[in-house]
Formats: sequence, structure tokens, C-alpha cells
Amino acid sequence: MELTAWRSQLRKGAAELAVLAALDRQESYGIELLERFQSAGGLDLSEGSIYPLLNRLQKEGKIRGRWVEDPDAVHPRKYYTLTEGGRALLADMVDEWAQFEAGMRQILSEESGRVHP
Amino acid sequence: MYTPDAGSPAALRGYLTDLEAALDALPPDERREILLETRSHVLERAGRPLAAGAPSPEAGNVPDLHESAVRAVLMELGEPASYARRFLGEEAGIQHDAGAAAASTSRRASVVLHGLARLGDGGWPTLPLLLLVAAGYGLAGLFAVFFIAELVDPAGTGLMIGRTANGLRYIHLAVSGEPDPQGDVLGVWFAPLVLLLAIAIHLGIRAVLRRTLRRPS
Repeated sequence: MELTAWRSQLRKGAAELAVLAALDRQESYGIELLERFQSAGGLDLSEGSIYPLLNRLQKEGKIRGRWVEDPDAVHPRKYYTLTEGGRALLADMVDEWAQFEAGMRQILSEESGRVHP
Repeated sequence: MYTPDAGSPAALRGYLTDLEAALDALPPDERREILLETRSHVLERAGRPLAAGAPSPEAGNVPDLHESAVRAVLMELGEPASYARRFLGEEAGIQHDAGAAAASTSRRASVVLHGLARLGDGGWPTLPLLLLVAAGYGLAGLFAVFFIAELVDPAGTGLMIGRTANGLRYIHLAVSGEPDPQGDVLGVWFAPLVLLLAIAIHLGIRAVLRRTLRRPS
């Protein structure tokens, strides 16, 4: 598998966790989330993928959206926030991620020791 | 139907019209939300210079740069059909999860049917087991009838103690018979007991049939 394709799969898998975690901190709209991920580095979600993901999470009841007439914008923005169900899912996903990260770190350190004894 | 406002750049209006058509499979409210959010995203990303109430782009007051900025943002989203598929793909993901759950329930129910079919195909050797299964389900059905009768007529249904003309006592199952609270052996426990028996018979038969399915035919 090429690196580009693997990277794409990796980001796709982490996208949901990233969105839920970002919305847990503060209510945000789509562009705000994209810019936050861009500045965090390594998590470039495409503009074409953020809104389908937000739409699905909303339909699943994990987040809720509301339209806001921002004074600094000429058009309304749709802000999202976590629901109780979203918070519960986020907590579970964070636990899973911690276990996954610990496991990968162990495997990678073993591999690193083998390659560079 | 969503109607893009006349003040939107032409490229955006055309994109939203095509997007609306491509999202036809979604409910109208959801479709409208997506279109509104897409419009909002594109205009903000393109750095729309107009304030509310300013002349429309068709009046020629907006620099060509704005129209090209809109096109650039639309290119990032992808073709309308492709962008719409992402929404529908996420929808398919939700339906797949729901379908998987439903398929799992369906598989559990079909164990009995497949097992019966296997027994039916087995010929004479499997006939006794088939008859036993039929008798079992007949009994379970009878218990189910008793359960319903107990709900409908609790006083006249139950395990009753009767008395013959000679004064001998006997136990019998009564369904909507003469009310006889004194002779009702199980009382309120009759309904849950027959229901549990019916369920136990079904689960037992299912377990037997599942073993039958595992054996090569």
C-alpha cells in the first residue's frame, strides 16, 4: 500500500474522534474545525469530507447543530456542539485510542530496537 | 425546493442546483440544510467582499476575482455528484449498521426455518426428530393460547382442581371455563409459567436445530 493511501485511511479513521474532541472543547462551525485541524498538523481533513461527517454525526445524535447569525459574517453559520450521547462516545473512543496508541508505541519501539540495535 | 438567492455568484448557484439534484435521495429538510451549509461555506471561504444589501454580482460590481475564488472553493469540494455521494455514503454507513443489526436478528430467526428444512430433507432417519419438533411447537403454541386466555379471563383459566360426580378430584387445564378461584392451583403464577414454558420449548428446539445445521448435510 502506498504511503498516500495509507495516510488517507489513517486520517479517515481518526476523523470522527478528532471532530468529537474538538467540539467537546467549544462549539464550532465547519470552517473553524478545518482551520483547527490544519493548525494542529497531521490531520488535514478535506473540505469535502468535513460536512458529510458532521451531517452523519448529527443524524446519529452525537452532535447537534444550530444556525447563528454572526455579526461578523454576511451569512449565517451552522455551529455544532456535542450531545450527551456524543460525550459518552468520545469518552469511549479516547479510551480506545489510548490503548491503541500504547500498543503501537510498544510495537514500534520493539521494531526500532530490532532495526537499530 | 431550495432556491439559491440571486445574489450568489453564478458558479455557486449552478453548483447548488446540481448538488440538490444529486441529493434527491435524502429527505427535503436534510437536503436543504446541506445546501445552506454548502453555500455558507463557499461564500466564507471565497472571502465574499459584499456586505448584506450590497449590489449583486450580476450588476458587475464584484471583481472577477470573487467569482474565481468561488470556483476554487468549489473545486476543493469536488464535483456536485461526487460531493453528494459523500453524504449518501455516510447515509449508507448508517443504514449498513442498522441493516447489520437487522440481518443478525433475521439470522437468529432463520435458524429454526433452516433447521426444519434440513430435517425435512433428511428423509426417514430425521422423521422422528421432525415429529418431535412439530409436537414441541404444538405444545408451545398451546401454552401461548393458555397465556392469552389467562390474560383475557383470569378467573376462568388456569390449572384447576375439579371434582367428578363420584367426588373424585382431578386436575385439569381450564380455558375460559367456570370461574373457580378456590380450585385454581397456580393462581397468578399460571400466566408467567405457561409463557416461560413456551419460550423454553422454542429455545430448546432452536438449540437442537442449530446442532443439526452444524452437521454436514
